[in-house]
This record gives sequence, structure tokens and C-alpha cells, in this order.
Amino acid sequence: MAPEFKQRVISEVGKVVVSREPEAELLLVSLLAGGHALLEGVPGVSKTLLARAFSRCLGLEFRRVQFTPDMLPLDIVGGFIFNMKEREFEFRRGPIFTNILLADEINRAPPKVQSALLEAMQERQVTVEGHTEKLPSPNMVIATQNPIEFQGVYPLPEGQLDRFTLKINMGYPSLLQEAAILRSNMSGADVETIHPVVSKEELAEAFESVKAVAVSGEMLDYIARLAMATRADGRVSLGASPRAMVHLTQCARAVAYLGGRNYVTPDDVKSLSVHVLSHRLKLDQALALSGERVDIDAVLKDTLDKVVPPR
Amino acid sequence: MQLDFLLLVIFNVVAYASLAAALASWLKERPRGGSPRDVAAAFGMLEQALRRAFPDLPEGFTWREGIAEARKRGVRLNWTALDGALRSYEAYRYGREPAPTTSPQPDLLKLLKLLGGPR
Repeated sequence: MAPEFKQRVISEVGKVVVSREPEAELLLVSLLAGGHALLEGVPGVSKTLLARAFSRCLGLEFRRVQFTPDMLPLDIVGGFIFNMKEREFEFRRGPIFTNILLADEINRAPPKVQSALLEAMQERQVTVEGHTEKLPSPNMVIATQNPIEFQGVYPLPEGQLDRFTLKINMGYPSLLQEAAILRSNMSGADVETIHPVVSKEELAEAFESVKAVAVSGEMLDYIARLAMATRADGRVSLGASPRAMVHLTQCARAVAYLGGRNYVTPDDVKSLSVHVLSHRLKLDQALALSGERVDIDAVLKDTLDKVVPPR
Repeated sequence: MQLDFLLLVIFNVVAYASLAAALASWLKERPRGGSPRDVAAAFGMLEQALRRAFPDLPEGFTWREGIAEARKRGVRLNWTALDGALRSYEAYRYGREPAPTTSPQPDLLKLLKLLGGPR
């Protein structure tokens, strides 16, 4: 059931987004894990198209917000507007009140706006001037961002990054994939041609099944040891947070479910570690400035090589 | 005369003790014939065999990574059958399935033998 469910979603997305199956699967993992996803890549690598296609094929309510430097928090969460007729203030819901919010180019907005998302992403609710409203379920933020070296971008604060369950790097396509993209574009493939392939009941059932996936005590211990190893690594100034490890566990359960299993294996954990942890770890500044060629992915690989999984 | 007898006794004790120690060591290290008694024992032996056969394998290797290493080296086996055996062992080891009661899958034993056999 689950592998077929996954295949349906990936095939439908593939109708307009060429050669992005792994990325589509990671979005599905993030949704089923009850999380949020950050898509990073240079302009023009189908980040926005992938997010739109993914939302459409699940038949969920979808909204898109283009983040800009002049945005205000109320542009996202909403605010109180004076109703002249009723002569009272009423709460007008912002675009976050949806199932899937595409926060396009999130790092073009100033930190104040990015922070407005914190409560919504973590607690699935919004509080404005003491008034709290729950967000619809499921609720997922898919944010896209350009690499930090690009002009006019604000780095996302650590607290914000930690709320993104997964970061998905979208690199350039290969030569063959590029040709396939050009062919698809010429044939007029459009996101409007994507139809829902999963019913609301199926999706609700999938969420329940993910919750039923077993994670053994030894596996939890393994995940905790991975976290400790990132914190103990001298090359890292900020290791994995407990929230990161909760996300890793949830994602591993989702991957197990999509693989047709009701238990998590160390391979599930290892395959997701880079996506779940790389955006949360910070390299030691002194090391970064020393010119030594070390990156977070290499640090994570060393950690995974060192920590013994249950066998 | 008594001193000679005492020296002889000491010599015998030392000689037989050395012999016993060498025998014990050989018994401990000798290659053990026969098959592992169950699937869990077979995987336990496979872990050691993989470590011996592929010293470059990192400490944090998983079953699938270890077996993939053997596959990369061109070991000829029915990998689909072996994958099935691993999957049912994982369901027991990491899931809530009962321990497999059947004897170890033949390709698992073959791999064990190809990697240098159980010790």
C-alpha cells in the first residue's frame, strides 16, 4: 500500500518536474513526519514548481507567498483589521492558514518576518495581540531559498533553521536530465495538468500508519548517540539539537512506512541524517577562517562512520 | 637425589602447563566447523566475518552497507534471496516480529563461508 502510494505521488509530480524523484520523496517524508521542508538551490532549478506540483497532487489547500525585503509579519500570519460596519476589530487570517504554504525565497525577507513563522511552524498556531488561532491540519511550510552567497538575502537564524525538518539541496540537473527538461518544456507540460492522486482518507491513514511504525529502544539510543557525537566534534560549534533528533526519528518512521515496513532500521536513520542535520550544524568559525577545507557534510559522514548502529 | 627429583617435577609442571595453555589457545582460535545454530547466530558471525574481510569498513556500518561491500567485490550469490533473509532478520531485530525459527538461509551461509567462514 505505502510504496504504491509513494509511487503515485512521485509519478504525478514527475509529469511536470523532470528528474526530481528523490526531492519529491523527501517532501513526502517531511509531510508525513509532520514537518516542514527547506528547498535550497540557485534560481531556475524548479524549486517553486516542485512545491506547487507536490501540493496539487495531494489535493491540499495551497498558498504561495513571495517573500520580499519590505514584508511585515502580518503579511504572513494575519492581523486585526477594524471593521467599520461592526465597529470592532476583527482578526483577518494570513496566508499561513492553509495546508501547504509555499514561502518562496524566504531568505529575502528580514528576520522579523522570518521570526513570525516560528510559532506557526512549531506549535501549529498563531498568536496576535493575545489572540490565538489554531492552524488547519495538516500544515506544512515549504520554503525555498537561494544560497547565502547571493545578493539581497538575509541568513535564516538558527532557531528558524532548526524548525525545518529537512533541507533539500537542489543542484543543477545532469546533461541527460537537462535535455529531458527542455523536451518537457517544449511539450507544454504545465502544473495545472497535475491532479490529486491521494484522497484525504488515504492521507489521514498514512499519518496514522507512520505513528504506528516501531522504533526500538536501541534505535533511539543510536539516534541519541549520533546527536552527542555531533556536539562533541571539535570542528562544530553548534551540534544537533534535541528537536533535530525528534525530527530525524519522525522522518525515519515516514521513510520506513513508505518502504512498506513497520519498523525503523539504521539505514533509514543514516540515509536521512544529512538532510535533517546539515542545515542545523555550524562549523567552528576558527576552522572556517583557517582555510581548511572541511564542510558539514564531511563532518556528518565522519560521525555516521564512527557511531556504531544496533546490528 | 631429592633435589634432582624436585627439579624434574618442576620441569614437568612447567612443560605440561605450557602445553595446556597452547592447547587452550588453539581451541579458542581454531576455525569452527559446522553451521551457526540459528539466524541470529549467523548474523552475529557475519558481522565478524565482514569486519575481517573488509578492514576499511567503518565502525558505523549497517548490515546493508556491509553486504553491499561484498557485492561490490563481485561475490557471486543470490542477492535477492539474501536480501529477503536480511529483511526478515531486520523485522525481528528492529521490529516486533518474533525471532525467525527456520535455519539460516543458504546464501547467508554461503556468504559467511566465502568471507572466510565462522571463527
